[in-house]
Amino acid sequence: MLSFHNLSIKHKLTWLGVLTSASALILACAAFVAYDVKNFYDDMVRSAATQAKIIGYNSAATILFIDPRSASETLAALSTEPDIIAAGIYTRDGKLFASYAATRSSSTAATSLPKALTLRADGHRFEKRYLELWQQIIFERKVIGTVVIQTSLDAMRVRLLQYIAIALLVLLISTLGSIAVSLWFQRRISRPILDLAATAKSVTDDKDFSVRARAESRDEIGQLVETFNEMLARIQEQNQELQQSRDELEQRVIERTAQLENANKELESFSYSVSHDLRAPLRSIDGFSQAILEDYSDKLDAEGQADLRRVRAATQRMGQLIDDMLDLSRVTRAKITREQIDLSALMRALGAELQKVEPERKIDFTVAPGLTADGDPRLLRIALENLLRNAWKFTGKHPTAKIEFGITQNNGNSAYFVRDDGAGFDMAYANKLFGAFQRLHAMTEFNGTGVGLATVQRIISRHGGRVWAEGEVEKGAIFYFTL
Amino acid sequence: MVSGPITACCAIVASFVAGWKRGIRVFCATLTIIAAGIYWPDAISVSAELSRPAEYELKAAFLYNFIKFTEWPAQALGKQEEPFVIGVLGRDPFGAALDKLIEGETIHSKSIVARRFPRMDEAAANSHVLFISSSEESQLPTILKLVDRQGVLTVSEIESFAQRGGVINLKKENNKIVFEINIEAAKRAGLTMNAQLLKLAKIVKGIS
Repeated sequence: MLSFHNLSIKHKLTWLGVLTSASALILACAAFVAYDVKNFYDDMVRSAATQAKIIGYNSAATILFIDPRSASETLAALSTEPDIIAAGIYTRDGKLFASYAATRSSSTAATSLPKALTLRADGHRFEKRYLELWQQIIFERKVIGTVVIQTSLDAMRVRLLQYIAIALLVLLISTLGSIAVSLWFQRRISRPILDLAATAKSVTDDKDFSVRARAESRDEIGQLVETFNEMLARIQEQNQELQQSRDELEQRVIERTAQLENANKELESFSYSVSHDLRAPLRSIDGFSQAILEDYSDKLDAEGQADLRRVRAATQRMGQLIDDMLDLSRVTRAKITREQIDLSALMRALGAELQKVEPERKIDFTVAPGLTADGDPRLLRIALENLLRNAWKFTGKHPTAKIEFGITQNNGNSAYFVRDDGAGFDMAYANKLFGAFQRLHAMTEFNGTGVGLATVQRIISRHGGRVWAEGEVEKGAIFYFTL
Repeated sequence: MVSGPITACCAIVASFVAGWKRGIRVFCATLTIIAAGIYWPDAISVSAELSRPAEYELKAAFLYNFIKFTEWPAQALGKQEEPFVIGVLGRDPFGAALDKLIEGETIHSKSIVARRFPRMDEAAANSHVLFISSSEESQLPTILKLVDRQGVLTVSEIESFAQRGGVINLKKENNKIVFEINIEAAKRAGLTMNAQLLKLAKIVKGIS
């Protein structure tokens, strides 16, 4: 069974009303019935006493002249009183002188009337089914006998039953009435609370702070609803402020990004034009150096010729640097057009090219079959070429080398890799590998401009991928990339 | 469900109401002979032959009780200090029973005395109640003429006494004492008979 504690406030209020009125009514009914029953008993005793006095007065002569028959006739007058079930006249020494029994219950009454009566003062007592009252007969100031009257309590019982029936009826009707009133009242009180609870629940469930609870009354519940609504409004305001600052932040990010892009573009176009413009004077230096070597070789001693050759080599190297820089900026600016590329086939073709340039190199080059990717074919070709060329270059000091292209799983993502067993690198410098013009090895050891890996990183990042490397000195290096 | 507490309430209330309200009354110290005589148990319930003394004790009681149901005219009762006289004319059948019965009793604040009269004129002049003994049957018309309109209640056992002009005739029927009353005679004597008494009596008319 549900405890009162867990009942809905609706039912609590209803019960409150009903129980209050019912208990008050039960008390009132009980008090009225008790009072009336007491009155009824008093009346009954009074009436019986009056009857007894009349009979006593009328039967004085019959006692004095010893005429029980006349006494019985006097008693027979009691038949007009239906409640009197038996009556008797007793002589002074307690002998039954005359008796009367109501016809309908004569047998029981006759036996219930005392056979003899000890002399006693007036009085009465309540038996289970009747009231017995005795009254002395006084004639000329002398007690000459006693009248005993037995009055049935059936009328009382009927009356009591009627009272109980009426009380129950009143109780039933008023309980129904109080239920109706309680329902009406509880609705007045509980509905705003229930509404509030429903609103609070919908706010929690839907995260919608724009709903408002309805305030119908100006009492504490009304205040509660108002406070609740104010709270909602405050939350809504704060939400809006948050949203606004987030929007502003986003706007600012967009603006800054655009500025950055703009600056980057300017920088790129600047470096492109610088590189481009630097080539013209370089060509002049190289061209005229060559002309001097060819046209004035007889006028220059061997040392002058060697110096001039060093000038040419430096200018050519600078030209290479500028080319690489232009490549890098071209990679950065180029538009990406994605299509399906057979990486394995591409890698094999690049390997064959390199082998053709240096046929004396003994390189065990393996390519995992069937590797494809989605990307820009021209850019990816540049990236893969750089990686393979790198591996080729750094295995150059070894008589035999092993280079492998494949795919591996890294943190749940598949990453392509190019592995070699060449010079390798110190992992302490791993973060410097992909910077432009960054070189871990001396120019005399391995030639190069230091732009290759920077170009690879640009291409991979422009494809939305990532590139990183692992290595150990003289053990080799692995370059991973994702697309 | 509800009748339980209500009944309980009623029971409590009833118990307050019930009980002895009145104190026990103190009876008269002197038990009257009337009562002793009249409520002789045998006289009422036993149908055996009434013994002669018992019969006259009862008749004496009847004689005395008649006084209580009869009203005398004021002038007939006489002065306050004079006693109320029950006269017995002729041979007295009551003996001491009558005297014992009336000893110390009063009527209308007058003491009651019983007197035996040998002469009818004395008896007629001094009695309020006059019992005419059966021995005087032959004198009856004379006696009745003497007490005519004198306020005297005449009682006798003489056969057809009431029919012959007397007021009350005591008789024995089925071993019980009964009485006849001649209302005309009572009226002529100036007496008023109580209705309760008349109810118990056999009413007869005089033959004149």
